[in-house]
Amino acid sequence: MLEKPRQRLACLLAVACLGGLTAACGFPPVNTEAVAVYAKFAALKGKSRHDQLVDAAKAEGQLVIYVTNTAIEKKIVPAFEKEYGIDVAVYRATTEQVRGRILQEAGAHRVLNDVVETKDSEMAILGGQGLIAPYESDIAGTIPAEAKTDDMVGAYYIATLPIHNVRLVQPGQLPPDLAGYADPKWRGKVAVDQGDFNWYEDVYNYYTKQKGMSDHDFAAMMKGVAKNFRVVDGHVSNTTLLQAGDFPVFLSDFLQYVPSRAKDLSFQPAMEPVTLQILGADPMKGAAHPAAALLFCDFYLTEAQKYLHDAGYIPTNPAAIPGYQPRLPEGTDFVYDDWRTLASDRGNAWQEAWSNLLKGKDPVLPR
Amino acid sequence: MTQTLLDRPPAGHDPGPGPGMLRRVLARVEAKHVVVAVVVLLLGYLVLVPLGFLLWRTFVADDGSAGLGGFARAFPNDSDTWAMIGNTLAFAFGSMVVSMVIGGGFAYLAERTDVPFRRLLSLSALIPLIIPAILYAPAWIFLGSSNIGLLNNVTGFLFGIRPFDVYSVWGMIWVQSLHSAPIVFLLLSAAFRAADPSMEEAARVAGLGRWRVLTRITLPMVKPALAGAALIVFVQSLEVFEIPTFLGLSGGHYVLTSKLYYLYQEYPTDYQAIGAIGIGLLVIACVGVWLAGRAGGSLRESGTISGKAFRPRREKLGRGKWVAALFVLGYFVLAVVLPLLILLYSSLLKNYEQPSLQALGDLNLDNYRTLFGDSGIIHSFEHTVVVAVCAATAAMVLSAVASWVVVRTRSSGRRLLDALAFSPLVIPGLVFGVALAVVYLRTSLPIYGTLVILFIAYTTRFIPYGMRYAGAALSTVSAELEESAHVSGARWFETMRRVLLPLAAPGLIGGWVYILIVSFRELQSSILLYTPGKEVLSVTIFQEYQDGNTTLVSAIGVVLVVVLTVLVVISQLIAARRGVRNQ
Repeated sequence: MLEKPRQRLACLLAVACLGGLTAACGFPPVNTEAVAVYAKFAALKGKSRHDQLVDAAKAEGQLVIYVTNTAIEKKIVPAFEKEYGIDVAVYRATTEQVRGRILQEAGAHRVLNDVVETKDSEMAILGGQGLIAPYESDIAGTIPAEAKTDDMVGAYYIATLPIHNVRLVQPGQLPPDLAGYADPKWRGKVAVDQGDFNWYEDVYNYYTKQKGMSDHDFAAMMKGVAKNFRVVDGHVSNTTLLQAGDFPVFLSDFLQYVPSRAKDLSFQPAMEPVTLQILGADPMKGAAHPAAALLFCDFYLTEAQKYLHDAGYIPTNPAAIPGYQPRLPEGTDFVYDDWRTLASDRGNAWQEAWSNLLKGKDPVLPR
Repeated sequence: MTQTLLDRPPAGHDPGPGPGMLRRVLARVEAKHVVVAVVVLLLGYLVLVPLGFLLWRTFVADDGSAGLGGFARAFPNDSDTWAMIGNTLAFAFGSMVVSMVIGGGFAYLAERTDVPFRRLLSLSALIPLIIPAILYAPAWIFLGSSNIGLLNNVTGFLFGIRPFDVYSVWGMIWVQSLHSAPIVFLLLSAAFRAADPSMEEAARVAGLGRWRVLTRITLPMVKPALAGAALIVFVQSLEVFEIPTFLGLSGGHYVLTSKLYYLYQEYPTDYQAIGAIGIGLLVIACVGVWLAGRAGGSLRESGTISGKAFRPRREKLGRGKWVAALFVLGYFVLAVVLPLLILLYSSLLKNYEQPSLQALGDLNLDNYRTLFGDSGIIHSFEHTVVVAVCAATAAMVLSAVASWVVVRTRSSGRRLLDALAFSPLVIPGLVFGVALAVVYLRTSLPIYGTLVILFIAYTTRFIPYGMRYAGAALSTVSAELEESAHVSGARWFETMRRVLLPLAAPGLIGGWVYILIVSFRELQSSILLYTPGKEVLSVTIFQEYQDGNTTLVSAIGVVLVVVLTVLVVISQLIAARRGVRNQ
């Protein structure tokens, strides 16, 4: 039984606690000096830059990275920590979740990560908000121009292409091009992911801009193929179902989900177009550990390339991998993600067009 | 229920000397007033933060202008919208009916009849809940897919037919019902166990048949629990994301949550439209609350545990006993054995392959070696235990007091309190995560970026479950027991501690166990709120799944089933030792 003074005290405490919960003040300030650190190291080159950067990064001692790549946590981060003795904390989620988290934190004037690792169109969104710093170093000069966007020096590509189960379909039974999947014998057997509107736009660009097909013909072809679609959600889970034999072909699957020695899955012969998303890491403008952030970005474009390759991605700097052997044959026709469009309002229009196609509605192209 | 002494000031209570109204008011304040006030304030704070965010983002645009534009964008007037609403309602209603029949039927058999294998039913209520949601739907694809389903393979081999199709609406309803039936079973078991059978016995003596006793006496006695369970599974089915996504998409069965996630992928994110869907779900849930109130009565139904001792008498099923036993065994096999076997089998493989002699040769323990050697997985398990135990305890403490207000007092705000405590159930996890992040990013207290934010998220999200358990448990205890204690001089605190809580303990412990288990599964808010280095198990499972390590995730699922089952049994043993009635 509570005594009366205690009761009153309890009341006061309860009110005080609730008031305290809603209080807003006293955050650590966003590091405005990070940009100066980036500028300092951008002016340096070669071994001198690297040595000074390592010293500065070690003095910072830690790093927080927000990533989407599945290979980072188990291979790349341990290798980085081992080489430089810097503790790395990793937040990993989908590209939309990473973007949402950074924008929410920025909305509260807080920058809690040093590096963001994501895909081209998402990086363009973050760049548009002025949240990331351009990555500048002499390493960037070794990366091919097609792997660079306005906001990022890409570290690897994700290749999207049809993958099939060899127990259910033999290479000779596969159609040579996309239009071949309009045959009624493929009804319900061709899986596509409901989120792959970027792939749809890439395919549109390939057929209309490279092959000269009209919008009308493209729409008619895709409507024919879409009648046979089996709409799924999630590349990983549905690659498992593809492997288990639930359906024979996953039209918009990712290359990295086919292990080098996969028993039942194959992407060969690779049907064109093979589309590529560019992914990479950028330092944050308000990073608390800017030198460590830069060092990680360097690492991502050099030593980490072999881990990215091992994980099934296509590295942008294969020269950093001794004895590199590409998984896709030389001369494969690639189409790069139109990240500028995808990061703009037109990106939502493509998402809607893709959704219409999957539901059998019009229009199947953005107006 | 009539006015009780509990609502009046204690007899002979002297307001004390001294001038001034404030002094007289303070003098009348009792422990119960302080406790209730603190709980109501806390509960209001926890619930109103995400709810306020939902309302604010729905009706106020980014430029500060108010409007209903989000509704127009979320629900355009076309056939798709109506089909989506129709699918959502059909799925939720179908899942509610099937899970009520399964969970309610088995709760009745377990508590009120002499059906054999009763303990299997308790396991059937537990294990489908523990298996990670991310694995439960795929496990059913491996069982019920028309192409590769094991069940179809068996019927195809034996009878030449493949009748099961998990990708249909019925498949979705079935899998969701298996997921929801446990809470129906747990809620109704507690209610059946606590209900005095003397009225049923009197009815039988008076010559009423089995069916009439069931419909006229037994079911009305547990109306609050029935209504609460139906409401919870209905709303749960409205909000669920994984099952319609895994099983409904290929057949074009889009539901409201599919649209919600579709909108979340867009940039700029249309939070007004997302909020509008949240409000849409809330409106459907409110209709559900109203219907449940009309159909089942409120939580304030008269109590059935009285001062008289009773021993529930189990009805003899006679020849029907073995038919019922077959149903119990069949359900146990379908809901527990088959999904668990598929998980176990998958956990012993490097990559999933259909069962065959060749596959048997590939079985190994590598996933278990990886699991126990991975400090990240072990740490995430530890974090989850801490957060889940704290959240389950906090949610049940808050729920017990709030339910007492709803069930026992005539306070004018009790219905509002009940509705308030129920509303988190229908706020989608995604909106919940965003709301908490936005709010706690702006506070200087160390909440965002720590496990505390997950504790707050879980406590708030699972209070509705706690309220149903606590409400059902308290409403079955007659108010006359508290009145007797009060008349005998016991203060409110003592009455709660020595009379009400021990009698309601089975239901309260049931609620604690349920929240503990669902906390292990929670992913939708966790993935948005977790902190680097402080992952919880659901996030680790999701990440391993994203890495393509589905068979490792199966191994985690198997270990989780074992560990949580042990944890639940221990908690029940402790409760039994402390003198409360054993579950």
